[in-house]
Amino acid sequence: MSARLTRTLRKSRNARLGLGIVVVLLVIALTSPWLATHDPRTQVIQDRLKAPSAQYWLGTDTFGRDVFSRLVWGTRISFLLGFFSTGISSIIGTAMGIVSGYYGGWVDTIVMRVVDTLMSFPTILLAMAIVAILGPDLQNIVIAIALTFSPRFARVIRSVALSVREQGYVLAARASGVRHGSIMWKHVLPNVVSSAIVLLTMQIGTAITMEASLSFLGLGGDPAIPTWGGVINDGRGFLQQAPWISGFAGIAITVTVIGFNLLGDAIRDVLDPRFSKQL
Amino acid sequence: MLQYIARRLIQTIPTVLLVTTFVFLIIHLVPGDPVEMILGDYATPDSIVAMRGALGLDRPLGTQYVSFLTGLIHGDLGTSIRTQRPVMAEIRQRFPYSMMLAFGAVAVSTVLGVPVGVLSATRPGSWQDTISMVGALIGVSMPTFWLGLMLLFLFAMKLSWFPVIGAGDIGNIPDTLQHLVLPVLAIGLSGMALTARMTRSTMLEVLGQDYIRTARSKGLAKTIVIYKHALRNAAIPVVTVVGMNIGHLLGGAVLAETVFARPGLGKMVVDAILARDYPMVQGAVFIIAMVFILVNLLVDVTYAALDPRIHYN
Repeated sequence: MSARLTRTLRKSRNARLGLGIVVVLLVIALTSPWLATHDPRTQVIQDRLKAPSAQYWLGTDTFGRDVFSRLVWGTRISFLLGFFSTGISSIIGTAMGIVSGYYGGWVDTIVMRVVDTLMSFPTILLAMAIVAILGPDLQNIVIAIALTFSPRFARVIRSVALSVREQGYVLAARASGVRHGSIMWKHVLPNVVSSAIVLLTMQIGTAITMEASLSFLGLGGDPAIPTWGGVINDGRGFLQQAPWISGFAGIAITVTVIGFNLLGDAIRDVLDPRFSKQL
Repeated sequence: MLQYIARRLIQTIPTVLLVTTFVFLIIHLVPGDPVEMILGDYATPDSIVAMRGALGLDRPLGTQYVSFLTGLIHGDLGTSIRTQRPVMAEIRQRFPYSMMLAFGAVAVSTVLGVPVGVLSATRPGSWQDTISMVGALIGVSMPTFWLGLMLLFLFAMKLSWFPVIGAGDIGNIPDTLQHLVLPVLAIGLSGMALTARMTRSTMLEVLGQDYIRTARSKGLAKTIVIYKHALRNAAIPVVTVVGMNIGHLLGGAVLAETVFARPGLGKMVVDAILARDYPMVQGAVFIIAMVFILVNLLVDVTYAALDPRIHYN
């Protein structure tokens, strides 16, 4: 696999670019306390709505908070929420998909009905409905995104599990009386993992956009927390006087999502070339 | 064909029922007491009892479910807590604004996205292809609401070509259209990017097929081969993307309506969530989900019409 990875990286400029963007942002996320030039929450009222300068690299918002520092901390929050929500959805969705595909029959029917139902909502609307139930809060946004994305994992993993179920080694294990749980864990799961990883990378960018959208709508709870969507929302009322607030925050999101999209394509080519047409 | 449509309709029934049940449960799944959540700090024991009665929460769950379903059948979605008006009336008033937006965005993304995809696929590796695909990558990666804000900043605030907010006077067509341009572009451009990418990859696949080589070697004109032989066979995946896009575009409408302060369903949901106006949230979520289910149904029927092979499976 690592040979194929180096080959993809050597051959594809897009793959290198995607990996580069994600690594740089990851470093920013990990070092944000040292990278930020100001405290992201400190309000300096006399410096409100200042244009970008040597003191405030990307200007200040309406409370005189440093936009650069808020975006640097925002990177950490976006990455945390993006990874967590997609991670949880991949675990839930993979479990649903394996059980559904392996058992088939009425178990499959029920699981797939639930999946169909969840997919009958435009994703952002379902996420909003879940936030409406649980209350506006970043933690609830993670839960909402995780639940909204898990049906996609369930669908893809189910289709892989359906074919794995018919493989000789699974039939042999069943014939020799191995318990279902153990077959799913030891034989089915390892065979669906690569598909799950491909889908996971491809969904992180979407999750980050979704989180930003929900925060932008004011569903993220505490407005002092520097999320990218929140910063765009902060700048919304001041587009005319201070376009840099929303402007830079949106660029941060766009670049991040481009990075994950390119990386997702590359990982798909490395792990699962057959997949390229299905997704 | 009819049989296929009938089967597809029957398959939709359990989904509709489950969606309806989920919408019913929204208020019941709220952790703690939804009535206390709605009333917040102003809750008094009397007002709590009154609100619980008004929402029908004092009755057994089964009874509530039955009356919810009966209401739905009669087009009654309850009463908004905030405006005290029937939810259905609110929805009816806002529905046209959201539909105009969604249809405009679908039109933009299809009419512009398909030709760009075809152009890219017929000249892979050319500068036109590179520019289109870099543009499409940026387009799918940009958050809709941010693109909306930037269009608003540039074309409404700086250049004053378009009005800044609102949906205009619905009786006045030029005014309505003027208010529609920027939000439609904000949603439509990302839809266009998605459509262009998908059209390109399917077209590339189709162009590699034997029958295309045959058509070419017969000496048919290039445009005939592309538009008659290739695009027709690439149509099904493209219809899928357009169908997938509609969900994305409906979601985009929710955000764009907030950005442009348009009085549509999306803005209504957001306002209702923030105000904890649960009947309104339920009503709007229900209607949008039903529209989405209906559109998916239409997309599937379109497939069947486009591809005779679908009948047999």
